[in-house]
Amino acid sequence: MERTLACFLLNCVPGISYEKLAKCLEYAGSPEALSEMPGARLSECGAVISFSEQAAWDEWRDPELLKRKYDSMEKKGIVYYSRYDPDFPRRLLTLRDCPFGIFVKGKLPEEERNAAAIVGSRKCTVYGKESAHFFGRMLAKAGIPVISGLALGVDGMAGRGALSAGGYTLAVLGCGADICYPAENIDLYQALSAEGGIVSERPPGYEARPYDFPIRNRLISGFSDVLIVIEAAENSGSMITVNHALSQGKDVFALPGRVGDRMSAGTNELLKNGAQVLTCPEDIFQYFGMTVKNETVRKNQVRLSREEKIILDLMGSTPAGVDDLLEKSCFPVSILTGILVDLEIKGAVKKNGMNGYIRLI
Amino acid sequence: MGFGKVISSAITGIDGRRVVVEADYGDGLPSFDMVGFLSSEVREARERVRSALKNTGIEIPPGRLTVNLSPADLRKQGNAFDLPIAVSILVACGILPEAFTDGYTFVGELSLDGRLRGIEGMLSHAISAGEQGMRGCIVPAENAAEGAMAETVDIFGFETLRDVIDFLLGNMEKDPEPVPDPAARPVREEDLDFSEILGQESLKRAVEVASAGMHGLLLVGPPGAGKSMTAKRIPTILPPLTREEQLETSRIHSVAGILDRSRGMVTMRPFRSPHHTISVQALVGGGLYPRPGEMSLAHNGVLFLDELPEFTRMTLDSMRQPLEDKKILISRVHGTYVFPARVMLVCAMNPCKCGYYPDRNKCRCSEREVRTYLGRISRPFLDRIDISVELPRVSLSEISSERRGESSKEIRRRVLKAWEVQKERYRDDGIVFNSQLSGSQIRKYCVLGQEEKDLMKNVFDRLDLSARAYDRILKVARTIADLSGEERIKAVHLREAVSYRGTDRKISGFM
Repeated sequence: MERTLACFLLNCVPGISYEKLAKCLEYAGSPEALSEMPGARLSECGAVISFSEQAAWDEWRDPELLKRKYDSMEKKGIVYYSRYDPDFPRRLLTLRDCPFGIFVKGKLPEEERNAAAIVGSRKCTVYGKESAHFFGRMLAKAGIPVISGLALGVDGMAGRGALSAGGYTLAVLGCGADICYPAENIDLYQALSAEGGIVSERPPGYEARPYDFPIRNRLISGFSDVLIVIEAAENSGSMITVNHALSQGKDVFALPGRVGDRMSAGTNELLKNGAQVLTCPEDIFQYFGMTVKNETVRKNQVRLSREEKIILDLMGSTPAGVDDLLEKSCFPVSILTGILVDLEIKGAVKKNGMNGYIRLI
Repeated sequence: MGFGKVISSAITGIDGRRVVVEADYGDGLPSFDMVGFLSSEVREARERVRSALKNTGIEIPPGRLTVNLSPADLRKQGNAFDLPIAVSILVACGILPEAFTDGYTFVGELSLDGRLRGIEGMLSHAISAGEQGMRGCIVPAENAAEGAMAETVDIFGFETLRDVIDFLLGNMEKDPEPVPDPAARPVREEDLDFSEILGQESLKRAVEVASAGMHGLLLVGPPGAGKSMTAKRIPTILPPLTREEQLETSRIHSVAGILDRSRGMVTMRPFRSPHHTISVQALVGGGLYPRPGEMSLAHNGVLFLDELPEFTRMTLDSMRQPLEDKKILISRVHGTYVFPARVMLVCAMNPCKCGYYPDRNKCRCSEREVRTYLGRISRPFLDRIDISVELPRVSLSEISSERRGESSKEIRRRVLKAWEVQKERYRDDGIVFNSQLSGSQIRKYCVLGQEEKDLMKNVFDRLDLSARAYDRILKVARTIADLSGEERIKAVHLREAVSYRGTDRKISGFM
């Protein structure tokens, strides 16, 4: 059997774990040789292969079946790169548990560019969403590929931010690359397949189970040179990505949060344990040794009227309620709401949904 | 042996309709038959009339008695036909000369001992009698005051069937029921007041704007933020009902049987707050022979839907057309009924199932749960809500604050002024409020200057609004301008209107 198709087999065969297949591959020496071995002989490699696994192997070893699957995959616009392919991402080759191959929809990130992964909680706060969007946008604008997971919350917002800057972003999925999970992010999924990339280790049509996501997370950190954690509760899934990143020798940046904020407990803990502090995109630029014309002078670009300045100065780091501002500023309510809308148009504040505003500059 | 005919009235929808009750008394085996498309409560009138006549001391000699209620294609229901049937029999038997009953409309229920009992929909009967040019209405004493409010027909209220007969025979003098003096009408003590709402100035302002243009209002906030408390006080800042409005609303309440007879006319703007388990029929009106629903009962007042996402989608969507048309059209095989429903729609909801989103220290709902919760309300329904406000949790300093806010009376004065401006402006357009403006009317009455146009362009680019939101903002800005007594919409009005857009973006996913 041809080498690509043999790797394709390893990716597709259901029910046999990566570890067992890796052991078999090591024993057989090459995917082609392994694909010639009948199921009954697999146990020779030292791994315990059950009868049902042997049956699955024999069923899938059929070159005609594989060819059919391969063709239908290509029809869906998905490209398969085996680990022996020259176009296979070099960063993944260095992984201890490098996948046999990956399925790609859209484009892969450019190898020579430094890439950053942005991960965090699905149940994030407004602060988390804003920050994810902001860092996604700023990094993408500077030409840094943003790697993420298409999940709700931080992941999705990072991807959206990157796209809003017209940059490149890659989503690594736990399910097949032809499935949009979660379905709510269908807009993002479609934009990614056109302008960014979607990658999965799983064959098309594969539906993710909970244990697939931790495995997927090793690729998120694998594709990137640095990991950014925006918001994470203690013991959250983001911590698995952090562990992967550390074992892959990548640096971790964490966004500080307020003490007592549940969704920042994990990131604060990371900082305590020596993660790098992330307060602005320049932290990442500097880490990569890039010189980016910085945009933090944004503040001066925005022209504010006297009233707007007064209101802005009354706002602290936490969301400020309209009624609080009313009391502090003594503006009539009809005027104050107008000023806040103006500030919102100018990008200086943002509504947080509960009659409060967050200061952005 | 004889024939008798008297006039009565039936309710269809909220209108009274003339019904002729005929009785024929002839030879044959003694019997008492009633025809004319009757419901069972009308059919049962036979027994009540028979006993009432007997207990009043009137002997009907045995004979063949046939009663017909016409028109025959109109379903007769309700309890108003006992009295006219009894009187028509008296005429047929020759006890009452027919000429004596001429020009009167009879309505009323009889009890077995011959007393008259109150009925529903008296106001509609009286109005209809007035339109037909009747001389007077003979009604139960209980209903007399209510009927007299129609003012177009004399109302005579009686306690018993005996008194009715005596009156018709000329044995008893009775003056028509005096028209209740509007000034003497007991006005309910307005025990609710806006000054009880502490702090929350931005909320109060939004409510004022919504009331000034009768805009749909959505209150979003955690439990205990004061959503219901605020909604209940909205009728106190709406201008008092005009005489026509009182009549319109009283009529609906009268037909539905919820008019407080001791109080007479509805003088307070109604506040209806149906529970979210309400059926479509109970909300917009319905039934085989349609009766008004909560939307009509709230006519000229406030319809408050608490826990908006808990209402079924079907219930909410059934309100879309009525909200647009300000009336409800119900078609049945036997006719079409129109119920007025000009309401100010006020809705309240939690931001998520637990109510604390986006406070992530308290809210443990997943992103998906939040979306599902908000997504239960259909877009087209939300499009009918112009103003959306979020209520934060009330802080301790606000609860304990000694400062009292403005009273309802002061706010009402401003709202009234804005209403008058609108009434004057839309005199020839067939609408009353800014919230009713159609697309072409918006372009006519909401003209923007260059500065305002630039602002709107900016708002559009930066805040990612939909085209629908554009019209809503203009309508609300028109109201804000009217509140401040300005002819033109200025940038400051637009800005405030933009801050009330809320719903548009919340469901779009970012928030």
